[in-house]
Amino acid sequence: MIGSARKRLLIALAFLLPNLLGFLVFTAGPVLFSLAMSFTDWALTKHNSFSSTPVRFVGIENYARLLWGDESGFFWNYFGNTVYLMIGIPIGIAGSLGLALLLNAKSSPAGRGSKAWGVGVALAVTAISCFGVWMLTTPGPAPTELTAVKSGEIGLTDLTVFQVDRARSNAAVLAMAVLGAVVAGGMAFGSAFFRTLFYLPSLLAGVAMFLLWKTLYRPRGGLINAGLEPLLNWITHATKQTPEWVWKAGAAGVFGLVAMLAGLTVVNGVRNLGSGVAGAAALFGRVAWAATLLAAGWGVAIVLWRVHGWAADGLKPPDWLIDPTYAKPALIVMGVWCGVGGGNMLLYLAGLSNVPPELYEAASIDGASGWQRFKHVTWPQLAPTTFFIVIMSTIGGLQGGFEQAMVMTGGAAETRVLAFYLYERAFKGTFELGLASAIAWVMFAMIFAMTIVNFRLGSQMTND
Amino acid sequence: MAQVVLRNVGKVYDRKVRAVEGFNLDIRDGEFVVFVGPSGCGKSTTLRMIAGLEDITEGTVDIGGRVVNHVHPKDRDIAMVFQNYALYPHMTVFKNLAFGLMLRKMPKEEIRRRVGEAARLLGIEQLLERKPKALSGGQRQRVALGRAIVREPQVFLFDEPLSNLDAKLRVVTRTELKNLHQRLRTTTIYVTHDQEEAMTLGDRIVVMSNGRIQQVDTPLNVYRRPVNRFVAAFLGSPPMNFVEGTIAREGQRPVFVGGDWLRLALPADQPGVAADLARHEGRPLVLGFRPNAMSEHAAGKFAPPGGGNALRLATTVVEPLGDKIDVSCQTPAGQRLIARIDARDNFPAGQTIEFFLDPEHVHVFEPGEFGPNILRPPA
Repeated sequence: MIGSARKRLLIALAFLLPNLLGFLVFTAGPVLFSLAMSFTDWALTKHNSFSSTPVRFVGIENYARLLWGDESGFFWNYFGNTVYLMIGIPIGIAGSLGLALLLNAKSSPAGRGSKAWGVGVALAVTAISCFGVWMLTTPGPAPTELTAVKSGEIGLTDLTVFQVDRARSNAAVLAMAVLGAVVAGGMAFGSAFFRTLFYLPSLLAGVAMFLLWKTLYRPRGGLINAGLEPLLNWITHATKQTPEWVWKAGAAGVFGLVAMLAGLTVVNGVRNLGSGVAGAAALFGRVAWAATLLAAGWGVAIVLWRVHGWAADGLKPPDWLIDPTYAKPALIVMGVWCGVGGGNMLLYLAGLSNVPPELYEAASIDGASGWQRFKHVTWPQLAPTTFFIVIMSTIGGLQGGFEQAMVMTGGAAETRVLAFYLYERAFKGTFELGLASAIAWVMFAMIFAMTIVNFRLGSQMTND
Repeated sequence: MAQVVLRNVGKVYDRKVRAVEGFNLDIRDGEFVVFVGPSGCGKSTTLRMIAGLEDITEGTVDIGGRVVNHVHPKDRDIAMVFQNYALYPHMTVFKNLAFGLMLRKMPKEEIRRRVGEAARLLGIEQLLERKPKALSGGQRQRVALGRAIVREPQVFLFDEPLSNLDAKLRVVTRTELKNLHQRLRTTTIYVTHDQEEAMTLGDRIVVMSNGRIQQVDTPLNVYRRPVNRFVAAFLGSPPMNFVEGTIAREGQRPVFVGGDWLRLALPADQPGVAADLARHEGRPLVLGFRPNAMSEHAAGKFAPPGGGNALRLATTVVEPLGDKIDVSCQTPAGQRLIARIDARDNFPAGQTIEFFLDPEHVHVFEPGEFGPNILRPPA
């Protein structure tokens, strides 16, 4: 040891100083300052170089306005939007786990020869299919300027029929080619190819991705609706062919079946009710599962019940980002797509590679099926990973959503989240910095509380 | 209870790496067979093929009169104990034991009875509500054993189950395992790289190297009559000493000549052996003798009638073991030998001393790692 304890402490602090200084000046300072700001009426429209009104300390007024005062309508609405958009989190986590399981599955070792064969066949099939699709969909020779007919389709009125048809044909060929390339690439490079592919959205800048999806979601001419339109037309046609009672009977049948399944689940749970907390938890799990089943069945049944009525007017694909009903689901779908192959998938892959293979072998000899091996080995072994992912995703979900609202819908009300609300109050309109700071601290309190709840529940789960 | 028959079993990984070749073995009902060999010899692979955890590339595995090559592990009626125990970490000991039975939809009463019985047999009744991470290594090992026992399978498969235990516990558990086998009489296949474990546990041991069986016999037969130099070197601790030389003839007697410092008259009373030795006269051969076939006193079996069994060696290191001592020696040719002799105080290290060999316990091998035993081949 060199020098006294005090001297060594000073040396250590000197080494830490650059980082410490940065943290104090750029993180801790502003955070504390914003806490102070949240108790003032600081607004740039009132307090600026043209006015001499002093910033006033208003106590908890900002918080009161948010939670039950004049701003509470906005606040709770946007809070609701934030929570709604968080539906994507469990879906995304399940998707990440699914992808990780797929990528982790051992592929049968193919020799180099048969691999080359597979890739060759895949490429050949792709080429032939692309040519076939092109032959089937490509419009005839381009019309002269005089014979060109305007398409007249909504949103595409300035294009000729020929131009619309050619664009659709090109899109179909492109989709075919991408599909073939994915299959061939997977054959050639195995899971590394898919791992890279799935991770790609995380490498690209978020806003670029959002703009891409905005194009996909365009109500007319967007790829998604271009694909949905023929499908919906076919469903409309098919629906009109069958009498209404068939659909209503189907709806009743589906719901009846699901209700029976849910009932059996609960009844079985009650019959095998174990003792103590574990037994109660198991029963609770069964009831939750039955409820989910019932809700899903109810949804499908409603659609079946009404589809005939809808089809009478012709089924139209939704105006995704514009229609208030579909804006949030559209954002959720996009969010899941962007995130499903990213960090969470990598965490799950790492978690999976840490599961001792002997556990699977022991379970296999014990007679566990694939699903039972997942339930009794993989899932418990991944509990710490899932715990971490849930916590991080919940925090991210409560904080996030600003870019989506800004880029995708230009801040349409139904997609506004708390982060967007904060931005809007602080940097637009009345520039109410005090109120915006209060929003930030309410968000912090919610995230903090949520994380504590997660920790309590999670440590029970993972310590087992 | 069942017999296990392996016919020409072979394993090739990825169409190029051969792990096991031409494995033929008949394991009798209730027998305790140990596969032993250095790491990478294919013993674990063979066990895993029997368990169904590896595909069988060639040949057939037959358990209880049924070829199981394409039978799922769970339907082979086997139970396996893994080196790292592979206990389910989130389940209590009770659940670990009961899991396989629960999956087989056994009635709850029967499960409770079997788990209780196994727990009593292994002395882990007070641990049933604990999780594996709250158990010591030895306790985990018992739980793993219990998980195999409750299934009441036709065959137990053990994959180095003791190698994660400390030395003392290993010896104790070894004895318990043997005791358990004598009570349950379930056919058992046991894999280890520890020759001592193999010798003490097995009714028969299967010595393997490079994916092939070298020798199958009772422990003592393998020890006394190793089929080749590899088996001779692998079994026994400290390992057998080897000295290179040739066979010459002195009158009617064959003599092993090692340089100018060793002339050992070989016992050649059995006619076949004498002829065999005669055929190898003048060719390079290897003399093998275990450390305990040496003595510093020419008395009893170390004093054969014709004499000619002395060798002068320079002692280097002396390791006392209690009633015996291991003496490391150097031959005039610079080769290292070990003698295990009766203990005495002040045994001189760093001196040249005369040792005497027991000619009834020497072996002669053809050269090479797998040179066959020509003096004492297996009966």
